[in-house]
Amino acid sequence: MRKYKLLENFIFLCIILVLVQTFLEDFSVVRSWSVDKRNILIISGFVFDLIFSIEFVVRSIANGVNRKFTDYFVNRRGWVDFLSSFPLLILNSGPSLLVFLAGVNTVSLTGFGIVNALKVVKAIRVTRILRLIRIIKIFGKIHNTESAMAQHHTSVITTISVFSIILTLIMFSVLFVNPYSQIMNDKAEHYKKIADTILETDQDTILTVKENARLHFKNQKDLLRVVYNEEDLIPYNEELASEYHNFEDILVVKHKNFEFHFSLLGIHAKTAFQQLQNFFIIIVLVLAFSFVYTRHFAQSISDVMHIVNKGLRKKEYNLQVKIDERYEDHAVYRIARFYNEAYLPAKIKKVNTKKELSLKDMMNFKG
Amino acid sequence: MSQYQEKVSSFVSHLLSNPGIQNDCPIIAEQTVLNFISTNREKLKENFKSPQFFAGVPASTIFQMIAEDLRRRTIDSVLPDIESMIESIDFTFLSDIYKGKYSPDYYVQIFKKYIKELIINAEARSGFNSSLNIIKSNALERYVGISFARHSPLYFELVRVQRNNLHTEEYVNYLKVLLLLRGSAFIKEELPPLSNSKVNIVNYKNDQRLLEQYLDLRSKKFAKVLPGVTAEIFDMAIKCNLPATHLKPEDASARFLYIMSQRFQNYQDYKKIDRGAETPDKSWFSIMRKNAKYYGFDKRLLEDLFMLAGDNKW
Repeated sequence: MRKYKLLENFIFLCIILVLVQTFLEDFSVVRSWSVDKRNILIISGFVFDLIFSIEFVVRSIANGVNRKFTDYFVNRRGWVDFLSSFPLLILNSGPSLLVFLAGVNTVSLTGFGIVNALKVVKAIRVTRILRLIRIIKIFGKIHNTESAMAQHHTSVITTISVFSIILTLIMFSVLFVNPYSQIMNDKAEHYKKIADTILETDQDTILTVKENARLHFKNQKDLLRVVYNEEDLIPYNEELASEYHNFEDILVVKHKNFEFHFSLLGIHAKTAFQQLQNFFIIIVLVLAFSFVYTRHFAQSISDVMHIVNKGLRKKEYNLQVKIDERYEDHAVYRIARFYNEAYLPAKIKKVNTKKELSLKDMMNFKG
Repeated sequence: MSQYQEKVSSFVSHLLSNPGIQNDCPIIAEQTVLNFISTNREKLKENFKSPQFFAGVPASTIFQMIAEDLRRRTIDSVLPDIESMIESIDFTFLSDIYKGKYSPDYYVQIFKKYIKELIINAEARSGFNSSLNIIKSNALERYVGISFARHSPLYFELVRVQRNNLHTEEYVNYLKVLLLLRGSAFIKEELPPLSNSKVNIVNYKNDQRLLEQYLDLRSKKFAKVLPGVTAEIFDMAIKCNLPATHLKPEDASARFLYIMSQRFQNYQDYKKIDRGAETPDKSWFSIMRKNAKYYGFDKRLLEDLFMLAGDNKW
């Protein structure tokens, strides 16, 4: 039992940490953290996804042994555990870690399609927030709403809301092109056109292609490197490029004899900012349900039922229910009114609240 | 017989250590044990014959010894509380009635002496449970204080209807004295010409005409026992045991204390009030508004106490 409790506490700690990790992953891009720091987040993301995947497998096996797997998966939100573990491990953190370990440091234009596909998969990353639903019980304790009924209703409504938002975000990323990806494509096209212009005007000017290209590209902030006929026109600023750019942040576009390496940091920062917004919308929604809705539910339903239930069962418990006049025509309060005005007065008249001893209590007298 | 005394005492200790009653007030615990004996008398007679219990001694003797042991324990445990209750009362208002003839200290002494005798009576002793609860919870100070400040119906009844022009603190002390003397109604005595046999209030509860005669004779006789306490005070104290239907409009203190005594007889100190539940006093007064006729409570006073409890979250 103690080991089980320790394990549960460990999982709760992981849930909190994974939320911090999810936040930092986007925040690090927005604030242009160094690659080293962002790589730590990639590794930690993988570790958390692995932990949750193992947890899902263990829970599934444990429930399966008792033939309760369906009950666990359907009724006890095993599907949330599943969605926030394996798909992330296989489609998101796993591939990211592999690319990082393989030492790939740029993405080519041909690979850009794959990156775009990964962006769709990246939307699944938001499902990590679903884990927050599992700690609603903790919010309940903080907020003194330990009623199982209140917690269950909050969980259901929160799961529906959060899952709807996440599903909508995934659908949007599948069905519509990310506007920032479009900007990326436009940028690539822009450099190709410049290259074409340079090559076309080469004949009529006294400037060579190299000189002309240097003039056109040297002030482009996001252009990290330009190669013409395998010769660096604008060489890498190695320090800057490797400190702040990982494999996803540099796009290589090849056009005729030109090769453009340009930074995607600005575009990624905008996407990450949007994801941070989504993250906070869901966090605020979960907190609002946990604190505001649970409290409202407890006050108007579960607390009332708790008192009535206690009064019906315990002979010495005779406290009345506080009737909220705003809801007095609700069925719950109509029951409470009957309990207050008919049941309790009758109970006090009929029920003998005096304590009684039994002969059994006497028989164990040792003399 | 003395060899059994110790065994009886250990048997009583065993019963009182039952988890169901071990935390109860000694008066309630005593009643529970006596109820147990009375309900299971025949079975106990059989059991007591075994060597484990009291073989060879008549059961009636054992019952008597148990009752005696219980009474001694209860008195030993409750008397210090009652004595401190007496010490907490300011008897100046009584002293003033007799224009200082009797000092407040005198009242402390004679009340202590009187209560020591009164508490031997089982029914009188039982009534002290609610009195002690009322004192411990400062119920009189709270309700009388707020009612006098607001001039609520309770104030109107106590001061205007009863025509008792005491200040708030004096009134609280007056009510505490009534609580002390309330149990006197259960002392049995011959009251010629009403009765030549020993009687108490229980004998006249259902006969209004005889009840009035009894009250008159009883209070006059008591006043002689306690010089410095008026017959009117005794009269009101005895009336505290009667429902409102048996009382006159001017017996407001008795009607009020009759309600409060019932409220605090089985007083349950809720350690934590469930969220969404009404407060204990408000709940009780509210429920009793519905049962007022059944218990003989003054509905007007109950309504006011309900309002006071609700407004002050008691």
